[in-house]
Amino acid sequence: MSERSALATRLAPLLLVVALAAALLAGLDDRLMLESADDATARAVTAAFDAMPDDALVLVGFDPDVGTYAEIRPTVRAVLADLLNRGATLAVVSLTTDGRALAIAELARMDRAEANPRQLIDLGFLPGAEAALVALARGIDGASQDPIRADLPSAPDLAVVIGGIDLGPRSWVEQVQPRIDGMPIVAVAPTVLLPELEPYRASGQLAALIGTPRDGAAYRAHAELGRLERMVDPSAGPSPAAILLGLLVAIGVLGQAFGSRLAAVMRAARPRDVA
Amino acid sequence: MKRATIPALVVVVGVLVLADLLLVNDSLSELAGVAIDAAILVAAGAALAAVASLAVRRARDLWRRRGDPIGAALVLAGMAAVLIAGLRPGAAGASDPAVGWLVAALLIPIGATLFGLLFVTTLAASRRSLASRSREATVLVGAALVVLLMLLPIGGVVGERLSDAAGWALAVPIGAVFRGMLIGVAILAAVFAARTLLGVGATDE
Amino acid sequence: MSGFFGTAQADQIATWVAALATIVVLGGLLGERRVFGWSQHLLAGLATGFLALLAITEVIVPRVVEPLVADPAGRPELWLGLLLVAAAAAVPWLPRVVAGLPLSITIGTLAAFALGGAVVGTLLPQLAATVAGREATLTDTVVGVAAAGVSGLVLIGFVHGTPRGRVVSLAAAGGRWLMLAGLGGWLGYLLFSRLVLLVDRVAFLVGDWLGLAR
Repeated sequence: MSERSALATRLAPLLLVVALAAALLAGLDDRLMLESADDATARAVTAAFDAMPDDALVLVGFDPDVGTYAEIRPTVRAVLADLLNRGATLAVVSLTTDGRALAIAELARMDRAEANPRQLIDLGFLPGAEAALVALARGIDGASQDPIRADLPSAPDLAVVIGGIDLGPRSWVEQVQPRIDGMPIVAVAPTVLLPELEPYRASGQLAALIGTPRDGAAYRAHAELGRLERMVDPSAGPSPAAILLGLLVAIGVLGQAFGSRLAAVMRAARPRDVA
Repeated sequence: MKRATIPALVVVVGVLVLADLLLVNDSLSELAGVAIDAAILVAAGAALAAVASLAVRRARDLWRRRGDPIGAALVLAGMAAVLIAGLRPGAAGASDPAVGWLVAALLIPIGATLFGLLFVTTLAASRRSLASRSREATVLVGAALVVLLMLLPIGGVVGERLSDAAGWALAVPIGAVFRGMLIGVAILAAVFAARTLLGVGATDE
Repeated sequence: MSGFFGTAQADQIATWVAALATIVVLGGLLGERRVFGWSQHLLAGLATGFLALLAITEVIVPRVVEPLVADPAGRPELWLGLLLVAAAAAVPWLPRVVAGLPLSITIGTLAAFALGGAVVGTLLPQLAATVAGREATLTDTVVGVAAAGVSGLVLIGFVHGTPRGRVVSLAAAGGRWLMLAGLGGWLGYLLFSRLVLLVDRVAFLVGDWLGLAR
């Protein structure tokens, strides 16, 4: 590789970052649409919330990881605000280190936004991944006298699982759902988990699943948060302009390599002229 | 006798927990609960073991001036900062504002940015895989390209069509493939777990 | 834009520290390895320190130590629990016979959870969902049958070992190509997910730190 191309390869990521910053500052977000036109996901989430009784107790499994939380952060905040606006009590538990760190940060943030403290129960952290999930399920079901059960005023009416790569909604479906009858699970997960979770949504094991920023934006556009709008920063969604630019770069880079590969294959397949 | 004890314990604990899932019996449930609570305590102890092990190794590296002394010092400093912030007299543990400051100012930004870098490195790796001229890489990257096109956040009729296509692709072809994989993984996991519980195929040490 | 920082002075300092940390890690893209490596060491220290803090303050102390201090003679099972925690914490340094107890509990419970969860939580419901039922329209039924076929081929390709017979070999090969295509689709979602994260970090620098985009 020549010196010039080596330098270009080295500087390309920096140029990408600068271009993304420029896209953020360009003010083009209003002209682009992040939310998906199909609001089926948003309706499914709203339907699951509408089916809750008044003054419901919602168990929030808060286990995103720092590597993917930024993608779902605006949606998570909207979901929590939506539930609080409906009068639900949120019992927040984490089973991973990242999840607990982010849960503490979000609870502190909700406290600064003057959320009603009587609507928030901090169940803390349980180690052991699947063992913790099973202990949680047994405590809720009354099969054991786990200390967590003492902190819950009643059995939860709904579980909202904020998933990450370490421990996601799939583990909740496998370990909690078989042990607790009649507790629907709504999941908010990053895009990377979407293919793995789609079969669970399709089979009905997940009552609803928000898995892309587009679905999240569609949900946020429809959610009625009332006076709890202050808990959700309206500008906090990922910039459509920057995402569009990044996607075009990715499509360009991969498309160029893919096109070259296809051209090479077609050249190899062409019959040679015999002199 | 010693060799048989550990596998026997694995079987007993495993069968107990499994039976609790399948049968409704108060005594069984209580015994299974003991095993599950024990697993949680073991997990907590194992966490301390991991941390202590890392701390001892890094301290040894620093003492013997092996490897990267600044890196070793930073590992120890990071550990100490969080533990002091959370365990000092009057602190509120993990919910203490000082711990929250460290998490928000350092842990989250470093971790999140590291994963953000993966966009560039994953893109570069995907491009390099095409240079290997394998059919598998071509199929892999071709499918990725199609999905990326469908995820473009544009409005209007084109954007709606792309969004519908993305939803359909996820629900039908990709969903079908991953359902097959999930079933396959579940079968393999079940077989492997059953072999562990039954002690089948375990090597004598 | 992350919303984690308020307006207090400590939060302002945190914003600057976070911005510096973000720039250091982004420097890895330019090939700056040394300081990038140090940031990873710091991350490892913070993360493991936080894990130890959680284990001590949210599990061991409230579940074992505090009840024991309140009633040392009345809860003998908690003494066993404390011994178990100590044994698990000292596994790297204990003789194998002693370390075997916490390891056995971990392996036994993990195997049981894996078996139970895989069969009851995934295998049975997903097999039921794979069976294509009669849908409202002919198109939906055809799509359902095709999807069931795809799932079946992928399963054969995934689980099957040595090819036996032409039909099974072809099915396994077809399943593996479908699996590759599915994984390719997943790669697309992965790239999208990582891109959103990179955009968020840049937005933090531009918005929260420099205050240019609000």
